[in-house]
Amino acid sequence: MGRPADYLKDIAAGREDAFARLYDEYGASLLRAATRISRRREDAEDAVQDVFVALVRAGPAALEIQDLKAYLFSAVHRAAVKRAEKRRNERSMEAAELQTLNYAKADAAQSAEPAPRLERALASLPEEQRAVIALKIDGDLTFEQIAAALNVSANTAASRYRYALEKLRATLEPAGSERSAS
Amino acid sequence: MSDADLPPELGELEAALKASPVDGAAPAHRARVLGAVRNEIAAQNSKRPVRSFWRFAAGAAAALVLGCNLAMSAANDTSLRVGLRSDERETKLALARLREVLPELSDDDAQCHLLMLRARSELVGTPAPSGGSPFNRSTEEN
Repeated sequence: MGRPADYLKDIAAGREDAFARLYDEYGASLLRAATRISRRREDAEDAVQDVFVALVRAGPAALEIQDLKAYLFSAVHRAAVKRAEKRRNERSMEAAELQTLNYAKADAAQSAEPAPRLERALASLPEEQRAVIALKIDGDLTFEQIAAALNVSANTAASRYRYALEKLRATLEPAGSERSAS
Repeated sequence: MSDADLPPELGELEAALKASPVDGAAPAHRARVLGAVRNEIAAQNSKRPVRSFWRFAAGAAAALVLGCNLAMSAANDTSLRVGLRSDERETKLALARLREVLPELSDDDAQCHLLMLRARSELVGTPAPSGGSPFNRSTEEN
């Protein structure tokens, strides 16, 4: 793993290999976070691409980035929300629900239980709670970094995270208790 | 709030989320993103010379205009005395012609006539303050 300052120098200089290294280090987790926020793999892929292209456009201004990881996850959050909003505007709410279902179905086809159930439950959370979960779990950001990314206080970010986990647990519990009962 | 603050059941859920096999990056996506990055870098590089050319052109044009203004201003304020010498030649020629036409004129009278003729030739035409002039409208109406 290179030092962020080295990355930033190469990124600011527009060196393609720096972007390749950056993708290798953060691409997978950025994509996971974006998928959890936007609830659509397609939008998530576009969001990650938007972040990388924006970084190229930033040019020498990239040198001003203080915390590269926090910047990337903050940027991917914004891009994913924007993509999701665009999608919502393009399609009716009914179609959006269908897409969410498709995402969950596709996920279920790809991986074993109980992960899809967990992801489905996560997809049912409000966007702000999903964002906190994505930034904490996939980005491994601190609550201070999440707070800066979401423009809220660190306490708000922490309580959103806890509410989100509690809500997830409540959503998953009936099925879990049914299973244990049976 | 740290992870240690979470009750055990939420901690377990957090661990389950971390272990959740949501797809990460795929090689196709990596290629797509890096392709977009390559295109953007190429676009940025192609824009740079054009931008610097226009910046240079604008700078050169500004410098040219400023230079022209300064040169004209300096030329207007500088008496090169070139005109005076030609005036002298023309004056002698004109006096000689005047003498041919009016041989009875003294030198002083000839010079006086010449000055008057010159003064008339340099007059700037102005509208006559009569007839259709707006200044006289009220008097005409009266």
